Amino acid sequence: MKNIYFTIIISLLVLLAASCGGGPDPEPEYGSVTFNLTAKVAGQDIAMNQSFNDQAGGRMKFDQFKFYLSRLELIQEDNSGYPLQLVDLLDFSSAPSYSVTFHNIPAGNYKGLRFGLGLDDSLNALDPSTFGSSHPLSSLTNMYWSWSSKYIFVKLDGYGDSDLSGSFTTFIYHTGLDSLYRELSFTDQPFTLANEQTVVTSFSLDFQDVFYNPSDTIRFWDVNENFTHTTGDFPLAQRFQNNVAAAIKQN
Amino acid sequence: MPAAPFIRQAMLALGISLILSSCRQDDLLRMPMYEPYPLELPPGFPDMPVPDDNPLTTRRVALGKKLFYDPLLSIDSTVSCATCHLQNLGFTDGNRVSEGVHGGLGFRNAPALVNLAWNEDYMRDGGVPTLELQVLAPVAAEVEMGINFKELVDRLNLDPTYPQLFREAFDRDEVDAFGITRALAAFERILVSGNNPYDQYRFQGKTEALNASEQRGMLLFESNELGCTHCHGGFDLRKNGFENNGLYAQYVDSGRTRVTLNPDERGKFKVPSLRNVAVTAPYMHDGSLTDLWQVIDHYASGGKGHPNQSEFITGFTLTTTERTDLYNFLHALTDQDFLQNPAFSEE
Repeated sequence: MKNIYFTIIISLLVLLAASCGGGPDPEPEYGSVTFNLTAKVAGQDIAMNQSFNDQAGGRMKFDQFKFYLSRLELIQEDNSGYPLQLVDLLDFSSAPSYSVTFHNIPAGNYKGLRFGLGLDDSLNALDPSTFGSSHPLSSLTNMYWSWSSKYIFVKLDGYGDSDLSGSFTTFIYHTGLDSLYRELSFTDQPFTLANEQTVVTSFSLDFQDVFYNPSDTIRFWDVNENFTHTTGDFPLAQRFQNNVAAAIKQN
Repeated sequence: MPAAPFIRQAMLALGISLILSSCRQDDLLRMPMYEPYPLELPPGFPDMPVPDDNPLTTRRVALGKKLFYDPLLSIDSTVSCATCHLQNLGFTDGNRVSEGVHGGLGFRNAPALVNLAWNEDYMRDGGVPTLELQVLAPVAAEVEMGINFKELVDRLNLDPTYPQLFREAFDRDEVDAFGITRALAAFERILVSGNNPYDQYRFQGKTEALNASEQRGMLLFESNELGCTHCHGGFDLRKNGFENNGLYAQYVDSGRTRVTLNPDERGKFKVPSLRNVAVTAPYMHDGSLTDLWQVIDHYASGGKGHPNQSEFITGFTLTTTERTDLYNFLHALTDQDFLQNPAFSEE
């Protein structure tokens, strides 16, 4: 190992010496980008163990909502990505919003943002026991199917009541497996990042939209549609994942 | 600057020679943490594949063995790995399916632990690609050990002995998921069996190791007509892969489809080694066949004809003597050294 460091240091010295001959380059300019995402139910901020009326005459209540957001990138003018964050686990147990700010982003024009819902096959193949306890991919996060060596992309547990009758039924939607990874791209709000400026990008995910998607309602109160661990009932998991992906909107 | 590359090369060479003279590989291996586990492979075995991040060291193996036999690894401290993997039964438990914590029952027969290092997939459906990752499965399963990994790590860190043992086996400050998975996998890798009478006959030149009936059974086993070795051939008496062996016309357990979602793999399960097969009853993925007579009769019948049934399951006819010879041969796959090796036993 020592010899690698040694080579690197010597190489850097050589490079430094070689590059000192030119004139001064213009000062590069950098700004910051904030990414916000808020989970909602019919327009209200989500909270656990609290009943929310939906706009279809039913109501829902949540125990947990978590998902992996990966490969968050700015879209540059040539459509290449400027990576902001490889992966994070968004957990809405204690707060309705997730927010993170990235600094030292090159100033310039950007067409928008893109990110993945879940993990692509290369991230999904990683070994959770190799990550430290605070890493989002750690085996301590409880977002892993050890029987298939795959991460759980989305975990939603809660209760549904279709007609305010007072009786809730449990729903559980746990989605994963490589084919349920969804890439989302948002280009409706291009922006210019100026030097030392912060651009705030805000997104929301409303469960009204997830369950009452106009082209595919998922009957979260119905015993035939209120449970999936993906394998065994893959079509429901696929529908749920598609609806979650479609419900994520830039504000 | 034409001199720079030369200087860099010279400095690099000087650096390498300094490092080589101060810390040679031999020195590293003499450090207790890296002392290799003294593993001798049986004649006829290929080299053991070992992952780069989990060298087989004496300390990792010893720690893995302690963990293997420790019920602390289950939520209520009643179930250890050894509860369902008993050495005298070839590391199976003799049950159709196994009972875990809170009386929970699994849905598949506990597989034998033998020569695991040479496997390319783990679990009956092959959902797990490495022995290290396999450790996570029974620990988390609600009907096996039922503990989440965070709780297990916290528990072992509070234990009076484990933190020290982990520090000595791994260059890490505390018990963590990496250490638990690597230590258990290291112990499981040393569970090598290669000294049954058939091994002695085939690889050690001991022609007396098999009696006349067992030798006739061996010839049947290896014959094209029976075709057993299509799936149960090679040094480990298995191939890497999955087959539907025609046990059912309709499968309740989807088998490999559970992890691939591919309907063409319904009812396919990992092909197991036949080593120690006489002590690992009951048989099949669901433990539904109680003895080797039933197993022989199943394959002789040609299977139930599921659409995914293996092309090798075509049926055969045996005389009473041949059937007994085959049965006797399967008993000659029992490796008594393996079943009694103190290196694998609880201390």
